[in-house]
Amino acid sequence: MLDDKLLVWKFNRGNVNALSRIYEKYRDDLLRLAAALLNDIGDAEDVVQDVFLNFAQSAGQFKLTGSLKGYLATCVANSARNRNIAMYRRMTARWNGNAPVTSNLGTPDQWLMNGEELRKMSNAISQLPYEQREAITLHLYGGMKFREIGVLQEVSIKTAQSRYRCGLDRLRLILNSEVQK
Amino acid sequence: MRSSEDIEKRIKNVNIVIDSERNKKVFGNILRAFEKSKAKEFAPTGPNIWRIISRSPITKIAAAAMIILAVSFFSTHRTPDEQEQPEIVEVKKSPVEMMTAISLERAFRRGGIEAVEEQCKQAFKPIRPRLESSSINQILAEFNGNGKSSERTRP
Repeated sequence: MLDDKLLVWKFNRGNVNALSRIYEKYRDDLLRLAAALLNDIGDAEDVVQDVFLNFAQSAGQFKLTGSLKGYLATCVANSARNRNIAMYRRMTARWNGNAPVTSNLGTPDQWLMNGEELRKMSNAISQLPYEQREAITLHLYGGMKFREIGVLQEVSIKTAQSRYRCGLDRLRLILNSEVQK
Repeated sequence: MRSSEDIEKRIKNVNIVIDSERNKKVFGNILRAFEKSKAKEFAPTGPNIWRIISRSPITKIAAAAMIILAVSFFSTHRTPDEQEQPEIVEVKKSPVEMMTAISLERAFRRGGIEAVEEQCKQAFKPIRPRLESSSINQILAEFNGNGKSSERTRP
């Protein structure tokens, strides 16, 4: 926490090393979080890149109130939610025959070289309801407390905890059934 | 059968391998955005005192306390002259000029233009040596042009 405060202080004064350290420190967890929320590694990379770009542009004005990881995770979660809504709209339009069919294949220069394990986990997590998925990933990858997740989801702490527990039980069943296969 | 803790561990420790070349490219983009914002933010505009004050609640309280102290200091430590200043009519003439004007006006009231002439003659007379013990009544009589008015002012 103190380390983050110091990094943000340096970052606000234009220190490139501070930005580099923040990027290296949280990149992987944010990628895991985005991949789990979007179930698409290409989209996850885009979201994380966008979040870091916006963060870099806020140099000099950035004010940290909670944890830096929590802040970045919230940015990723909001961005992922927006992307999911946009994708849902595109798909609805496609079903109605209003939009052209676009390829969903990943770009040739992907960031993640070996995303097989991540892909499997994302697939398993994607079978959960979105609220449970968000509660699990924000808690485990974003390091957010249930109170913070409750604020983000506009529910009480108890509801956030219950979503997390239910999601975890369900995920356990999914993963166990995969092992049995 | 896996427990919840195992599932948590497995979710947390999902392996990720990053392509270093692509990673460099991505970080290069981020760095460019950072440099741009740095150039904007750290342009030589001088420190914005209001921003410094509004950034932290402690500085806000300190600034408010300073303003209150300054106002109370100026309201309590003013001199009596300063306090009465708005009630005083501004005096543009010197006391000598005022006295001259009053004495001439009194002379005119007393005896018209002749009295004023007499008063002027007396004023332009060479200053004769005076007794050290000349009383206020004598000075006032001279100021009024004769000794009668000084008699009037005596109780």
